[in-house]
Amino acid sequence: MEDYGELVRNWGYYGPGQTIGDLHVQRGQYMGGFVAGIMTLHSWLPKAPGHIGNASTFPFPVRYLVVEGADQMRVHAGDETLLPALIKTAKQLERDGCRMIASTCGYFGHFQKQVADAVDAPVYLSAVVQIPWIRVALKKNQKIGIICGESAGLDDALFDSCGVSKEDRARCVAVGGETKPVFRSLKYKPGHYNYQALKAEIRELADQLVRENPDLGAILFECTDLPPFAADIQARTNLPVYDSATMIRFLGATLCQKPYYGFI
Amino acid sequence: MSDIVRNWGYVGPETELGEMAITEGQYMAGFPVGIMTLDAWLPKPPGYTSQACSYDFPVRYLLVQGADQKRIHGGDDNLLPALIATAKQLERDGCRMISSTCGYFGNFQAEVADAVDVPVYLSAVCQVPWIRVGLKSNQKIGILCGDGPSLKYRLFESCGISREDFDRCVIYGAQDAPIFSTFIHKPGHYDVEGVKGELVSIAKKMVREHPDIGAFLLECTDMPPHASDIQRAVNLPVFDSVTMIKYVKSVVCQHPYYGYF
Repeated sequence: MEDYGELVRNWGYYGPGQTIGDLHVQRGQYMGGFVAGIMTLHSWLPKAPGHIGNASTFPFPVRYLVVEGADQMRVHAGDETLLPALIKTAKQLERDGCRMIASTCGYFGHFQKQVADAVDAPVYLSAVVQIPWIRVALKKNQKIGIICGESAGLDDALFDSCGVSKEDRARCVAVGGETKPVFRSLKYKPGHYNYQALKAEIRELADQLVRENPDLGAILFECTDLPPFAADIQARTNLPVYDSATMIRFLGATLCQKPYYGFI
Repeated sequence: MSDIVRNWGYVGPETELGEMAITEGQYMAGFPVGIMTLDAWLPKPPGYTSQACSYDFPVRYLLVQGADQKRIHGGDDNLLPALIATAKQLERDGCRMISSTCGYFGNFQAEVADAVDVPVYLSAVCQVPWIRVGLKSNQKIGILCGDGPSLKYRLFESCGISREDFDRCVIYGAQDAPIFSTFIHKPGHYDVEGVKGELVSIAKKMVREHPDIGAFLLECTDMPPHASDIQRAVNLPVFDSVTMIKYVKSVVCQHPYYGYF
């Protein structure tokens, strides 16, 4: 990759009454105004509003870059030969002015540690990084129920890379999409799916979590295909529902602080 | 025959999504506008066409390989393959219209519009017929552009503008203003307040020398941050690339209306 030199940050909010004077931008930054840079899986599932791959999901601008070679098989398995392409993409998003780096698949969490270490911008590749934050709010005996794309990919290596301790991991119970025909097909048959059928399957998985774990205190969607169903699952279970959209919006608030106005 | 799958319907509270399909190779969604980007790293305060915060909807940028200011201003035809490839990629990414970060992309308007299925508006100059129709027959359109000598009839022709409408335009360039002139040769930084002063002063000169100007058009995508200052100074309609993109977005993303009877 060409050496473009130092990154220049312009993180201040530009609002009424402010005057901009001399402005600098880094060499090779051709655009501005993006809060989140989202590393994108090589997968063309339809993306309804709420999907992490749909720009209208967010209240601020996001930029997507496809990671060369990052198909579902390799990302789910945490294939380390993807690392150079991941780091290159993260650096490009940073160069484009993105203030944080996220991704369109929770299994990018396998690479959380290495990517966070390679760029200056904060990196949150997987909804799984929220676990310590979810756990701290729960009673000691309560569990975190995870709905994920594929149980096999949700392994020790992923939790470890995402900074989740063994103790916290023991508080998690997971159900995966591999047992459900439509959810499972997302991995193998891109291009289309039936939205209502997938919703019905996610309801079944949430019901199973609640049935098998009466001490469930919160639900976490690992999978970035699921935020469109978060409100429905919340209405059904009356539990906090964390997902990659809640994570990215929360980080957006910390990276784009605005002044407050009002009455005193 | 294009294999692009369109999902243009608005998803709202009453929408029941069922079977869904997507274009092969579409890895993202939700972008009404795709913007072909010039190879120029000027600082981009809000209001820039290449500033994602200038819009109240998502936009996607893709850099056109080799599209530096000299080649775009000059309308270098060798850029066409890269321009068309970029426009097609933006279309595949789900964008509903294609625009650009430099008004001189208008040199390629006709060819790019012909190469993709979605509507293409590469230059603010495309707005000329629409501006003219609103004016009195003796009024002029004041065009403030980045590079006066490069803004030739060829670009207007590519943007579908008749010779008659072209003759209604009064063109002034900012290429000799001390700070603005550094845009092409010294990227990386500039003094925003200084440029604002230069543009406002050119606009005032334009109405002084041509009191029959009925509307302003800012060709240059670096100018919309200063459009409200220009309007304050001349009290005329000010059209620019951001007004154009917002307008076209509204026609490719129709929302249902709700309210009281």
